[in-house]
Amino acid sequence: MITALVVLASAALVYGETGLKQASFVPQWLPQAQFAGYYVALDKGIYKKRGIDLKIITGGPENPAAALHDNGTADFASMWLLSAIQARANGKKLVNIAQILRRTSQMLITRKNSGIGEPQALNGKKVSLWAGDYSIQGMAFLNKYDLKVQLVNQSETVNLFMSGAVDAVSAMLYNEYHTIVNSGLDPEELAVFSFYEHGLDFPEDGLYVSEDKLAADSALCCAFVQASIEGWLYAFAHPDEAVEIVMKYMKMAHIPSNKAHQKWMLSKIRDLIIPDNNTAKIGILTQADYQRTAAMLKVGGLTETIPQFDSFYKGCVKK
Amino acid sequence: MLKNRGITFKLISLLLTGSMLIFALIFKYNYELTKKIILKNAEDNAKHIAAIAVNKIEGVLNIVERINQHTAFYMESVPQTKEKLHVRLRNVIENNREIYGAAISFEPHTIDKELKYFAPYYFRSADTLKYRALGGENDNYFNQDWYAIPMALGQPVWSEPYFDPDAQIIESTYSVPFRDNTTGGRFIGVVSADVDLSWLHETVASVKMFKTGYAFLISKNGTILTHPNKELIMNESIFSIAETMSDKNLRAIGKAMIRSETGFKQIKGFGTTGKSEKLWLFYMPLKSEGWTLGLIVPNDELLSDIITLHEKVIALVAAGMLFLSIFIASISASITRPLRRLAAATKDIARGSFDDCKLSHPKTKDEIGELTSSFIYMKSALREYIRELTETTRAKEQIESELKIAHDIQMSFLQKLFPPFPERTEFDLFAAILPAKEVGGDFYDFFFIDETHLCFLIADVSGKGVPASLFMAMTMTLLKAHTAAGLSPNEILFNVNAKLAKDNSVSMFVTIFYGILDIETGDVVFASGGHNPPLLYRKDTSELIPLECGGIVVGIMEEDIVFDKGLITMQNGDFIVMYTDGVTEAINDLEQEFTEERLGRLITENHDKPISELVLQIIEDVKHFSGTQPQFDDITLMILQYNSKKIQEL
Repeated sequence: MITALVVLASAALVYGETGLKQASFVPQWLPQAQFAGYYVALDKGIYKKRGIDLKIITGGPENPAAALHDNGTADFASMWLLSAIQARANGKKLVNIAQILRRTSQMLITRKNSGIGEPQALNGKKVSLWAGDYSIQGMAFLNKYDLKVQLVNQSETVNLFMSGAVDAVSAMLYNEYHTIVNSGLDPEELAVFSFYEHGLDFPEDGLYVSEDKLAADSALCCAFVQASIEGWLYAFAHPDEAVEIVMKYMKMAHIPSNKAHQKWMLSKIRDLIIPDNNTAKIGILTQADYQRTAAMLKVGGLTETIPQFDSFYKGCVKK
Repeated sequence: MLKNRGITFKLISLLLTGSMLIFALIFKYNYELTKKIILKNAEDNAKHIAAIAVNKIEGVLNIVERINQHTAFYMESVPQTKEKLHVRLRNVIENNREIYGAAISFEPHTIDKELKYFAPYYFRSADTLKYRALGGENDNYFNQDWYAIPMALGQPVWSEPYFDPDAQIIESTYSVPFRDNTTGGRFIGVVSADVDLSWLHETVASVKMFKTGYAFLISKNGTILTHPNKELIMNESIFSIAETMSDKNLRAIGKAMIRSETGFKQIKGFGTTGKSEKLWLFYMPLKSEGWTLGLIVPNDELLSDIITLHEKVIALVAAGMLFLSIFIASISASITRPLRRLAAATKDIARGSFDDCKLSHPKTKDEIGELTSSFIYMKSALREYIRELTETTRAKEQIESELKIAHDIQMSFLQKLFPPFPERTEFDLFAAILPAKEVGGDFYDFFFIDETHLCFLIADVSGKGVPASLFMAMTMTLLKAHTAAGLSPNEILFNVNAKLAKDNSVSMFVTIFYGILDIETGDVVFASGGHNPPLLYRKDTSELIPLECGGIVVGIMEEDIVFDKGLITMQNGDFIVMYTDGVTEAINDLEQEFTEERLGRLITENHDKPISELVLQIIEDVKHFSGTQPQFDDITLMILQYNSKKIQEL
């Protein structure tokens, strides 16, 4: 199996006719401004400039990034830190080469008029959480406040909440929160439990590559990271253009899109990529963040061992 | 001309401004009222049109609802086998073209204890019916909205429309939960039907109001389901459009729409281009689906009738105002034209050219007409007057010139050469007359009766002018004619009076002082016919003695007139000052008379001056005294001084 992966990997990391190194990348979800930096870097030729002929594979429910990465379809994958730590703990030889979203924006949203003003008020209420790793933070929140709630599985939409079928809904500030607002609920009508504010800040999207591929061509990996960061910086500097680019890819993928939502998403993602406004720190995963996240996984019984930080994080951007 | 234009201009501007103001107020009121009515009508119309569309859409969707509810009821009331479900689903789709696909999905381990997922699904594909079993590790339908929401709510639900990537269509799923009545109503699954919403486009697109008005449909979450701009469909919601347009009002309307309210509101645009335009939005809910139909009408089109109407009204008003301007201009012209003519006529008349001034008689009886009539009357009166005046003036000038001649002749009667008898040193005589404007009646005279007797007289005829002048000439002639040696002055006056009085039909009279000086003795015999007593200055004693003598004015009384005879003897240097009342009765600015006292004082103070100087000084003093007062009467002075010494010296 490992041999096969190596073979696939070496097949992928070949020079194309243009003299560029061919590589592929899969974000963990469908095209949207959450991945603006990559689409912008691709569209503006930043990857090419760095010597990479990159192909972005559309992620999403039908193309889970982890699976595509595992089977070698994608050289690079954007994955949640929580998921990646578990994967490595379970023996997957993937390494983090850049921690892009250095903060979480996940939250639980309730209607103010439901009278849920503090976490304890969620006791006995219907709370919808996403499936899988996306529920880890929510579960940690419920555990932290020792809440007994009626858990409901949450789909990709917020319609459960909008229809009143659940009292609290999981949301990303950059995505579902705004979807709810643009489904007719004013921010003033919403009560929000931000996990970050409740001490449950786990960095989210990071860039991953297999150990083998990193060993085979670390220059390519770092070029990918550098180009991606450059793409992000360009997107932040030109938000309208970035949104146009993202929407182009969304249209190609037949995904509903509107500018208002993508602009919102890009601006909120920016706050997660550079929460301290220090662009030099983009892509860095601190050991503290890593340990806190990994420890939470262990407490939650989701993993037994915590992989070594040094073996897990091979960031191209060093502090 | 300017002034006349001014009146026209003022009239037009004031009247136009006034009427414009009134019109504007009425127009504004009318506009608002009409707009209100039109909007009300448009709202009613929109409501009607929308209701038809809503009923049409709900009619179709209600069929789907009934079928699914029936299937759910069937599920709950009849014991099921898997085969029965397949038959049922196929029937549902085959008999209802509105339904694209249908599924009956079960909770885990219900219909089949072995199966976690059991959900047969039939759907249309290119005119054939296809089957797929829903469920699996990568197809966990329990999480899907169409399953989870009705399950959680325990009631039928229309899902938010979604894009089906397999069929490439937009669908909405109507799901009805069903229960196992044998186990106390436990939820065991969902009957669902997918409806292809493509037909909604046509139905909604057929709803139109005015030229470019259109309808659109939004979902429970505000997502655009149909819209003429396909780009918006499923991508935008009314809220994202409101956000793009930064339009809080639109967001508020969106909230009202998803609350299933009905309304008619003005908005400032509806699209993602940021284009701002005045639109009206009518909205009406599709109650069972929770969707809302919106009807957009451009303000311009909605109000096009009223705009057209008001454009016409404005055009009419403009025409009216123009007409009014012309009307006012002509009225003002009818006022100002005669005024202008009058002004020109006045100028002509002022120049005196009556013939150039042609004023026709006014046709109207208004104030201007009256003024013109008066003016014409004034012109003819003035003309007549001037004609008369010219004649009178000519006559007067003639008379004046004749009078002047008469005056000259009169003056020529008087001796003006002094000293009159230079060879006679026994006396000095000097006389002066300052005639008043008109021909007066004063005169003086002196002549020798014989070698030693000098006759001297001063007289004042009553009245002025030609009669006085003629009377004077006659008196003068008579006096001269009746003076003869041996006759004393009183006898002479008596005779002259008799002559004058006899034929004096005009009752004129004359005052005369008549004296005869014996130049050898200095004796003076005199008589006075009512004349101011002359003043005798005695050089020795510096006395001033009035030479009074009884007698009345000459020429009136025909009979029994007696004139007294006076006699004095003049010493060397004595002199007699004779004068007419023009001297003593001269009036100053304070209406005071010159008086005899003043005359006497003047004589006394200047007695040593030569008599010619004294005469002139008295005349100057009288003139000075009179100041600005006109001279009404002749001022006549005559002084006779006796110089016996000179004889002795000789």
